[in-house]
Amino acid sequence: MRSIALPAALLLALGLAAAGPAKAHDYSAGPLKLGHPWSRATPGGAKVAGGYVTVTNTGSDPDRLTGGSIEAAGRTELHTMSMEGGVMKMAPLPNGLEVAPGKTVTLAPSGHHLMFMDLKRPLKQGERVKGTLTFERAGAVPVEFAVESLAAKEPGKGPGKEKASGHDHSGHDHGH
Amino acid sequence: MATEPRPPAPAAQRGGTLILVAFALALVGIVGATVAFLPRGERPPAMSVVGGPFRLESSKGGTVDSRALKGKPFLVFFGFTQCPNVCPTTLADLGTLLDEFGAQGGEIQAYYITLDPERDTAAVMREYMASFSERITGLTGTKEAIDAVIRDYRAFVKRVPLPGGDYTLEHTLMVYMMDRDGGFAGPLDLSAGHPLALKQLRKLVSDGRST
Repeated sequence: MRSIALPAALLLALGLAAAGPAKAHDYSAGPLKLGHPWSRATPGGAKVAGGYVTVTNTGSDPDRLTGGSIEAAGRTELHTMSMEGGVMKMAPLPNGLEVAPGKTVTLAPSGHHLMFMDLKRPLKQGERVKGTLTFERAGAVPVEFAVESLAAKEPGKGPGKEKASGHDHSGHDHGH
Repeated sequence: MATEPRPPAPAAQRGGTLILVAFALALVGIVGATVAFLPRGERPPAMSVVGGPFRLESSKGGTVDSRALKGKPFLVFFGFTQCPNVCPTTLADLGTLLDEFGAQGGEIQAYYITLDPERDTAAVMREYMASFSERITGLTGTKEAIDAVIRDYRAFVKRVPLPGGDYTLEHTLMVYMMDRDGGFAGPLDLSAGHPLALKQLRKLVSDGRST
């Protein structure tokens, strides 16, 4: 499965480039809609950060989110978090998360999330970090994660007053 | 008249009171014993059995000895720096709350005690805690010292191996309010918004106890 990831990513990059301007901070990859990938500014020296996004499958075949990456992290795992009686429970999701046709899967601080590990540098509020979201069928989709405030528990106002300066994440300029 | 024996009714009342007191004491004993053997970490633990002395390395340099905190209520919260979600947001939220409390003339210190002393050295804690309010001090120590605090505070912690060979920790997320005698005064509720939490802090600081 992993062997198809790179060609798929290239195809998708081309597909995205042809897709024209996208709204706000969303991406499309075939039938998958990826809504506002975001992360959080990291405290001093932090080695980890969470990655969040919504994935909607508008197609008729199931796909599976298997992981992701950002250029600032050595590696990334897919985890799930839950609260049970005042205790935070954590578990890896080695088999990924199915995105069934017509369904939306949400990665959020209070549930499933990407865990960016071995951070090489801090994430700063307001920046966009290049990365990917990896799917079984759709392959590695290039996205940018918007870095929100250290306190952000949900994607709020975004990183603030951004100038619409030709950096509209419409699929071009992914640095490949 | 004054030397006449008292009517019997008050004496009977006194006896009744004594019996009631005895019952109450027995009840307290039973409840206390039950509470002491509750499974750890499953729910906010009983107040009387939570807390204890500690002496740990401070993110601000030197050590913090809980004996020096006597007379001042304080807050305790457990976590670790390689916690991606809830620890940093809670620290940020708590810091904002404590600064608000400070702006209103209240003053209380919080202690963030690492559950991962292996990776969270004093240097790591110093750098990490600098991102949050000065009213929160990070604490670390030897594994033995941290284990003792975990036990005393009845905190839950469990190491979870990760596919890449790393590990993460499951743990208690409660912010403990400790009264001026170092006794547990209840959990600080950050989920219902700052006005309520500030009310809890005001009460903790004004009488050293919380309801």
